[in-house]
Amino acid sequence: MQRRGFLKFALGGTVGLVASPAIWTTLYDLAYWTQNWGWIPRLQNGEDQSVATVSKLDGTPLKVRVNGGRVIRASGNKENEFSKGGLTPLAASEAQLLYCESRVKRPLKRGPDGGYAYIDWSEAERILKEKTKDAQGSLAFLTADASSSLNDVYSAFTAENGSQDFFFMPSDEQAANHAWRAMGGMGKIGYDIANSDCILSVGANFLDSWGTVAHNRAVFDETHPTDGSEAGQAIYYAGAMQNNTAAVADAWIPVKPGTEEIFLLGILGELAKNSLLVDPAISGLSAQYSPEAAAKACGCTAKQLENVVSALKNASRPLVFAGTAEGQSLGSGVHMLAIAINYMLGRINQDGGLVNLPEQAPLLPSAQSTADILERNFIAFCRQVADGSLAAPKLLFINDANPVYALSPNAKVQECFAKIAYKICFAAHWSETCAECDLVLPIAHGLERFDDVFTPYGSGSINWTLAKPVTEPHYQARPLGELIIALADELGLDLGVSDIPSLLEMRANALGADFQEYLESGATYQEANSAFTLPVISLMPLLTKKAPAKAPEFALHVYTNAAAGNPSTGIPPYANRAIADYQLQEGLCVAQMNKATAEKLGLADKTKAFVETQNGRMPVLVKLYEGIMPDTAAVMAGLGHTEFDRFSVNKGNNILQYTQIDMEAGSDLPVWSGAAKVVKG
Amino acid sequence: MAHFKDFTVRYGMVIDLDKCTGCGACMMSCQAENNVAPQEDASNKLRALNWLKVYRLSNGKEYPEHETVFLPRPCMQCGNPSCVTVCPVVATDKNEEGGIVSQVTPRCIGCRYCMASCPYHARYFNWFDPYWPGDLKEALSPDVSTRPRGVVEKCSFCHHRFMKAKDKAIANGEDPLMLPEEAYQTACTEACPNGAIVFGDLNNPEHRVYELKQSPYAFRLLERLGTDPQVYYLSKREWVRRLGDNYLEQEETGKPLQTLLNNSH
Ligand code: SF4
Ligand code: SF4
Repeated sequence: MQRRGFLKFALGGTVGLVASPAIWTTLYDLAYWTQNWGWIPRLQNGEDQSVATVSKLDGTPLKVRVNGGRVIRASGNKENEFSKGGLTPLAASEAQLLYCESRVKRPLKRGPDGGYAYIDWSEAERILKEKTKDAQGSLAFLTADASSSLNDVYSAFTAENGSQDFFFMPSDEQAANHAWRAMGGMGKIGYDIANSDCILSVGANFLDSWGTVAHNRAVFDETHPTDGSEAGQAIYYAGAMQNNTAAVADAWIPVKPGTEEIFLLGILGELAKNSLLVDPAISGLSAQYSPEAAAKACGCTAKQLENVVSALKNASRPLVFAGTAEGQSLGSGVHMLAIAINYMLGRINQDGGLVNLPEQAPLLPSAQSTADILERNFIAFCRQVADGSLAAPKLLFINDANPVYALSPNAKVQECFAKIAYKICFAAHWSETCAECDLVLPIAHGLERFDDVFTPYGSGSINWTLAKPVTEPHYQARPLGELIIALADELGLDLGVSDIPSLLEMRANALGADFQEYLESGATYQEANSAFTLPVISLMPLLTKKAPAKAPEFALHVYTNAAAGNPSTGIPPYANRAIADYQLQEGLCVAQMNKATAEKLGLADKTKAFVETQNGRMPVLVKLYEGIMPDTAAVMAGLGHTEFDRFSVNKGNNILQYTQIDMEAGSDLPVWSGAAKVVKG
Repeated sequence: MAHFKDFTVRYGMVIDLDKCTGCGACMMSCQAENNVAPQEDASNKLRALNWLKVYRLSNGKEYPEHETVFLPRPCMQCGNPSCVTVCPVVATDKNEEGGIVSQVTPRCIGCRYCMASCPYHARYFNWFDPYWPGDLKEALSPDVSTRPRGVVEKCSFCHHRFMKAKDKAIANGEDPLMLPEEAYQTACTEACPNGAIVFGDLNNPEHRVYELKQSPYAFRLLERLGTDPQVYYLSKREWVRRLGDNYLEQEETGKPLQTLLNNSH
């Protein structure tokens, strides 16, 4: 070959090689198979520390591993007597939630075009002060966390600003508190699950998401020895679906959504048979439904109902309570009936029964008591503001709550928001509610702040666990408690406390607990229940109770997956794997129903359909599951987020936006209605 | 039956299915402990990667006879691991005291023979580049290397914890092969608030698993294949035990393989 020819060949060959994908693919493959690449995170290692605190998401006591200043992992705290070291799936996500992309990193202000722009904290503080000053006497405050002593700061701040409009998000606690107080209970209603030997739970998924979950499950562990010896606690679960609690219960009693009251009336009737207790309220009520009629209306058999009653009667420490999945209050009627049943069984203020947890005086002079706050109803407030029967507040503070996502359109949150001149969202994570507010301020995540968990709903005794920061706040987040105290100072308001650690020390002192000791150990302070003579429970309110409504023909059962976060967290990064294919598939929420139901509706397994309610039609994928009642479809809540981060969005629809709320006659408490249809897609 | 290899120490689990509520705390803890990359969408279960997965089981009957049980499935760390024998590059082995089947991801060529051979679906292929968006990588544990796309991974019984426990025992002048039960526990065991998972040395009478595995309610998954799984399950419900293997209709559960073989001759 000549020189020129060779050069041509070499040049052509080079160009050809470079242009051909072969060489790049080979290089890529080589990098791949030799694993020689830089984009896999290299691990960092530093000094290890283990810090005891508590999860502000569900009250699980934690030991958090910090390595070289980085928060690595939340584990259970084995030394904690309340939880015995157990960890819930939500609390297991704490470290990832601390760092996830949905964190609000800097203050954000909404511009006239609706878009958000970063502002610095000094500007944010100026707006905060100005707006609060302008809204004197017209401030409303909503918080998602009913178990924090910091509510004393927030409610005192609201009161000092001339308003009483301090609200919790709607919950079972609100309805149960209302029932308890109406029937003569004086403090907080308590459920002594730890000392009961027979539990009937109507709808409350108490081994998964209801009440003091980590504690309930530690009790379950203790009462159910792995060595096969006899269990120390019988569990009966009544509800529409064989859920997590039902899977390990001694018996599952199918009860259709919307018929919980009827079921409890049936139990009451059966208990009243041959009972020496003569009470006009009981006889009036038990006459409404014979066990047979109640069973028929609920969808269970009379035998199942009778079996539960005989188990309750034969147990030495039975306990009956009712509840729902997150935020789906059933009104106060079910709780009144559950209280009446406990009363019939002689279980009020008894070990392992319903106990009166003494009311704790607020820590700050102008703070409102938890029981009073619980009497205030955010949904009623929104509806009244929306329809103009109540003047809209000028300013709304929202602390880590996500009502825009979590509440049914019947709550009229959006319409209410539209009438409020200025809305400020204090949020750790960017949520659907943030996206409706004028100012969004980054607040410290639960692992970045001082806080506490004080006798959360579902407790059986007064208890208290301290949360302390395991790390400095990330990004520009600030602890809300400190921010509100500073704001009060600026406005010349005296809340009676200088900082949050002092407030928590006040709590410790009020309980007679050693603050430093609890701060270091992460232990849960627990008060022994004294032998109360009070309250005297009165069944009188039941006399005026309306007869329960008839069951809907077809019912929607909305349930939660404890791993998949809550409305304020979105779906934690690792939780996607814990969402099962019977909850989300092909981008659609799954509606589970049994074969007979599907056949009746002309639907087959894995076909597309719509859940239809008064609030619209939601696409779903049908999946057959025999652990669910006839004429009922179960859909998981917690999907369909439009905000948060990549781990939360593009996953089905938000079923909560298709649910309906009615207001309970008498109490005006929200009752989630299960009426729905499923139609072919 | 002969073992692939005999060990003085054989770590294993006994999982009480009558205590599991299927909450997934074990799954969540496992991912955080072992730096499993989070997945934006894990709804396609053929592409989702789980070292530990909780299944919902059914007794197969129609409503109202239906019953549900949840079953957490880690790697069974089989005594006779079919995955090990098929691996062409010895990226997986069962060769260390403790009896844990290793997975050496830097050596794995991603051929997935092991996945095909594992009867328990305990092995997963990394279909995607591992990615911890934003600051999420701050929460990476320093104990377990991250893995690239294109390799197979599986549960290791938190092997790094075993190493740490042994190091500690050696430093204290104790026998690393006689660890007390609490010295080495997996992340899922620790997490389970119901105490459904019991972990320890199956050969050590001091460990709870030693007794528990002999319970009349104990069974293993597909044990008649001869894989000799080191994970046992407990259930008082016969139908649950029956789901553990392919039983004939009239056949009783709880019969060791040898008895069956003897009877068949
Ligand atoms: S943590 Fe325990 S109860 Fe929850 S799924 Fe795992 S084994 Fe079951
Ligand atoms: S369960 Fe599968 S991956 Fe684990 S050792 Fe057995 S064959 Fe191998």
